[in-house]
Amino acid sequence: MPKVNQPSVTIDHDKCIAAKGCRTCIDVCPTDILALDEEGKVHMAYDQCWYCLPCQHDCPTKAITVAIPYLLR
Amino acid sequence: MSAITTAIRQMETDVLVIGGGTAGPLAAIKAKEKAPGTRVLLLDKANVKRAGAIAEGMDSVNNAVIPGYATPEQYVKEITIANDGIVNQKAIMAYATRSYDMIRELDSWGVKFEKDETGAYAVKKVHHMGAYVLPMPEGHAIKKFIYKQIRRLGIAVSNRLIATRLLVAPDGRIAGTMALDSRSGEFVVIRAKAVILCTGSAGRLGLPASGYLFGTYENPCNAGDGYSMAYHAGAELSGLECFQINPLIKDYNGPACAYVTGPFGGFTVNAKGERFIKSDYWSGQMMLEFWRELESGNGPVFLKLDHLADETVTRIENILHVTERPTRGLFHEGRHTDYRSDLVEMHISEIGLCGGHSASGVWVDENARTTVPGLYAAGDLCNVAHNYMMGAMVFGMIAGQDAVDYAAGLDLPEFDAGQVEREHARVLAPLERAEGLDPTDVEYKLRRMVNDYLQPPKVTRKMEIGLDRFAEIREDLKRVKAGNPHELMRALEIHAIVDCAELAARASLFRTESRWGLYHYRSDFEERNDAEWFCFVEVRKGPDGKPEIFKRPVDPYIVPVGDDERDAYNQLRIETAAE
Amino acid sequence: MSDPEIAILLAALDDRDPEVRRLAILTAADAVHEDALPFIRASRDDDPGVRLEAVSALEGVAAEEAVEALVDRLDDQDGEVAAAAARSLAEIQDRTAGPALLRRLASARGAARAAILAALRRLRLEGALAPALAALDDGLAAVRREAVMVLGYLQDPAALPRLAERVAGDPSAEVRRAAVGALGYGSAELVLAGLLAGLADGDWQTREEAASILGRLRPAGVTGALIAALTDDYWQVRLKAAVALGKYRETLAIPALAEALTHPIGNLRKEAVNALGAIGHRDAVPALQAMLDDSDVEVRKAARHALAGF
Repeated sequence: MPKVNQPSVTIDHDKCIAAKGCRTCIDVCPTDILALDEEGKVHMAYDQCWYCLPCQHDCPTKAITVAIPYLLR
Repeated sequence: MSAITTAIRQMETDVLVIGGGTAGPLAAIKAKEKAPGTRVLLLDKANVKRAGAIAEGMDSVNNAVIPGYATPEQYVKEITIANDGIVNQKAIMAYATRSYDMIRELDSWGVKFEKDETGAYAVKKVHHMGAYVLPMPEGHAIKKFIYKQIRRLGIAVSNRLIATRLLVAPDGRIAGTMALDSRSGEFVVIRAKAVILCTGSAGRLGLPASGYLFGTYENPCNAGDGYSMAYHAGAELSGLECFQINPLIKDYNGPACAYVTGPFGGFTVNAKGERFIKSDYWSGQMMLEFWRELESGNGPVFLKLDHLADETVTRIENILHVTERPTRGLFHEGRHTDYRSDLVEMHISEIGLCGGHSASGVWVDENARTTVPGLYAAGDLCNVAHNYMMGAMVFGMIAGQDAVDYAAGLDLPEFDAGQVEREHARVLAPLERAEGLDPTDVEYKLRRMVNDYLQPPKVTRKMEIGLDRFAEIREDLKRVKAGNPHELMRALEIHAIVDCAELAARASLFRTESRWGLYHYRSDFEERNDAEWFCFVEVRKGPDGKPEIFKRPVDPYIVPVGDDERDAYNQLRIETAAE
Repeated sequence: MSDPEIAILLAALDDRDPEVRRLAILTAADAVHEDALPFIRASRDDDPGVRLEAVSALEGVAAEEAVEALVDRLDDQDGEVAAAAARSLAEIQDRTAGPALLRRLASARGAARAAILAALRRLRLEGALAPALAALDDGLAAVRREAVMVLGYLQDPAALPRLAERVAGDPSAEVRRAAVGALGYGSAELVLAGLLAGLADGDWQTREEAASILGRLRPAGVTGALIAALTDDYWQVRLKAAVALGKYRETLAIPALAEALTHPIGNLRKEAVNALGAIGHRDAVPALQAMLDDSDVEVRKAARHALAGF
């Protein structure tokens, strides 16, 4: 599973409840860049972020923070 | 890998809607409401809940036609003038007469439009003639309310399916689509009696100034898939030389928001702090003025809000930093920009194709019908000029309602098994390659070439060179490798982007005049030439498989525009020598 | 969603793990749209996260038990849950929710009273008139503001004197401003005093709103006050006064409008030009001609347009 080096989408794994079956952020991402890794944790798999925020807004436990990608900052 | 690549799933429906953003859901909802027994399937490459240009809402309706503020005739006239006369007035009128009812229906679904303390719509006057701007300060949840209607009607939804080519029956009518599941890699054949394309703009055409491939003005899922699919199905495309270019915040894909900040007193200035835009309606003319100022000694250009009261700025922030582009505040914070004390540097967007903001798209009549029987188009993908969000919804509705009538009593059309086999091979080829080019590299190179050779001012020789480069990239596409279905989706999108780039270049070369301000500004044909070019420029796939380009006359107007009216408008935006 | 799937979800609602219960609500909210009972039950869950999702899932549901459950949560100890309950109530479109809302309004206090009034606004129920009028005397500004909005939507002339009273004497600027806006449904004569009070308000946004509504309703005998507003401390108020005076075509306003042509804010100069053009008196021509050389293109355009009318 690919990973992005300096991801603009970061996930607080202490808050994330993907292990309980939550797939909210993975489902809503328009560019489909969020994925589960081998340990069942969510991460940003592709550097194709539109920083549009459904993942952050829809996350039930507020585990996601989206930053502006470096090239635009 | 071969286990993934051999699976072919078959699906069937009566009306197939491709694209779950703005027009698509309305098409599906209105089809199902009109004929509840009809099977309706709504497809999206992302997730319908959060798909499309309004995934995070919309901050304003730009073209509300509300009794007491504007009439449909007035609106048709305004769009005709703003679009330099090249419009299908019947299609514009089809929107204008349904605009108010659509707003009221959305209102009844829970969508929030600004109202005053008595519950009346708070329409703002931004343009010179009519008043069309209806703010949506709480418009962030619009998709949620539309999605509720999809659930209420029990409409079948299929997410993460990317349509690649339409199925065409031997008699030329539409027969369905072929698609790729971007999670499983499954190849899917969906048979349908009618297909409504609502795949949005070609928004991943030019490369944004930031260089970030996905930092586009439009939702980057909108790679131009629909333009490409309609073209390969034999449909006529229109106005591909009329590019979409918008004023943007420098380095960030947030719009200038004249419609949001204007009613509060904000405006665009040059480096001297002076207002300079003369054009009254959002148009290519406005963009030309914007671009000239950027390039002149008066540049760059800024959004000015620092003269507004603190309370007003807070209200603006509560709209602009919450709805449509909610990371806007974060961006400004990173650049230490505060509207209260700082001007915001502006720039222009990368080029794209978009009926919603300019006038390029799949040709449709006032019933949203394309030139292929059974194929419809709506939203940013179709060529109904300056249609915006509300036009997408209205044309989605028109398409959905017409499509159920078309599909009624029709058997599922036959399709060509050979076409499926060829497409299956084309789609999955990048997965089969042991090594090859990285899709990201190919896309970056292609879109850099688009900037170099197609971005206005358009120059004949440059566009010709561009066509050579695009042809070479087509060859490169035969060597692209995808490691998984996600990368495969991205690789396939490049095919659509290169189709759009080539067709946009050919249409631009064909129209040997300048028109629509910056959208089709040719330095070697600077004048507008109504004698030869008062017509649409159309593209379709010829019998030899190559693009065929031709003129389509503008139908006689149903709302006449007098010379005096055109002059009254021009007089305001052109400073006369007598002054 | 099929019955067995719903059964699994309902079983998950009894799971010991609150996060599992919460996810069950999220999934069910996405699929089920008629049966509100599981959400109503979950709205009383021990875990605030579960209550939050349950209350959100009940958004806009007009059934009596759902309304009751949401109103119960307006006083939730968790602020997020209470806010979500208020949002869910405000989304109700169906007037069948009216009786339950009105019944609960009678005993509601504080923020809950404001939330129920906000939910009643769009329903435009006759029965909301009396309780909204009563709520105008609430100690909490948020309640008074929502009451004003309910009355504005109801548009009953009987409420106009009480709204004018709010403009004249409410301690909260938010309430005064909303009351000025609500007066917009009245006939010009009935709301004149209230709007003049608004034009003299200490809060500039209230003055701005009053000037704007005066321009729309155009009652007799107020142009003097509007001319005075052309020297308001805030250019925003001057701008709306200029627009209003243009609609009145008040020739007495010409000197003050000509004065406004020298203001540093282009937005104001533009509307002063427009107003002088609308008034159409030849005395203004020299001043308008001078504006053809303004530094602001919008002002130049407006001046050209105004002069073309002579």
